[in-house]
Amino acid sequence: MKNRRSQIQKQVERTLGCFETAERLEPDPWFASRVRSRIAGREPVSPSFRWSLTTNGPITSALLALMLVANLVSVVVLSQQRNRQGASPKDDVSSLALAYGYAARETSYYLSTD
Amino acid sequence: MQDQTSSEIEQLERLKAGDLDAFEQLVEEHQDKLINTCFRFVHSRQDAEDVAQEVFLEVHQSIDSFRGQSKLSSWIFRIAVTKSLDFVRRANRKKRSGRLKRVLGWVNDGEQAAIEPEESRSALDELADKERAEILRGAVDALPENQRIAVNLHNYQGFRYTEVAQIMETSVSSVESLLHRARKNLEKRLAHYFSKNFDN
Repeated sequence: MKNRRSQIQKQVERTLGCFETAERLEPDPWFASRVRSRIAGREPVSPSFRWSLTTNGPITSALLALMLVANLVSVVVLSQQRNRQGASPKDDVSSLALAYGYAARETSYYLSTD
Repeated sequence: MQDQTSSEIEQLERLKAGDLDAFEQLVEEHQDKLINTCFRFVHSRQDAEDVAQEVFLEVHQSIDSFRGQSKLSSWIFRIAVTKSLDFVRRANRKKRSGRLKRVLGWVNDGEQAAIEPEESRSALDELADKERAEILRGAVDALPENQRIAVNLHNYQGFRYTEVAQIMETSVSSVESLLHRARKNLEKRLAHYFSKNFDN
């Protein structure tokens, strides 16, 4: 009986000693990268990051140049449109007739085009 | 701030500024112990890595709310313990519903085997360390929750009493008491287990 108890006690002690020898996991070598990419994937672009893009030297110059070109193009296009709108149909017909060697006959022309 | 060295304060500032390099460094620093802590609760490598990943995502999301009243590592391991226990509770609920299905006859024999694998028993004297570790694991899992957490952190992961106390947000004397009671419980459970097997 005493022998049985001491045997059991021995087994208990040996088993309690298994804390130190318990299996340990080696982390996956890509674990940190996976966590990082999950964070980067769901992270919204912060306002400061967006602002830092616009204050970046070469990007700022390119943006300014682009804005300047866009402005010039719109000024030219608008002025051309204004010129077209400002000229009357009569002027257009006269210049066309002159170019083809005819005198402008406005009444009959307008009648024929109506 | 408590027990924070200047490098820890600097690391915390970088983390709060959203520095991903600092974050990756933090992950590399703690991943080994953290995955193993989760593993002691969930008992599967895949689940342990998944839970650990959730822990780091939570740390990243909530770093601004960390006030520095404990060590950063204690805070991280507190999140790990909470998330692991949540995982185990969810898994137990699933298992209970599986048992109910079995009782009601909604699963076939193959599924029954998957729910409750039969334990293999061998002669006491021939028990390998791996088997002993499994028996111990079973006994630790049967401990009350607080004792289980203390045993996991101190006996398996090697945290000192003060560190366990910080992670569990309790006093060192409470940790000592928890570990003492856990040891007594384990001795009792193991003695019961071996006396049953001694007779066979």
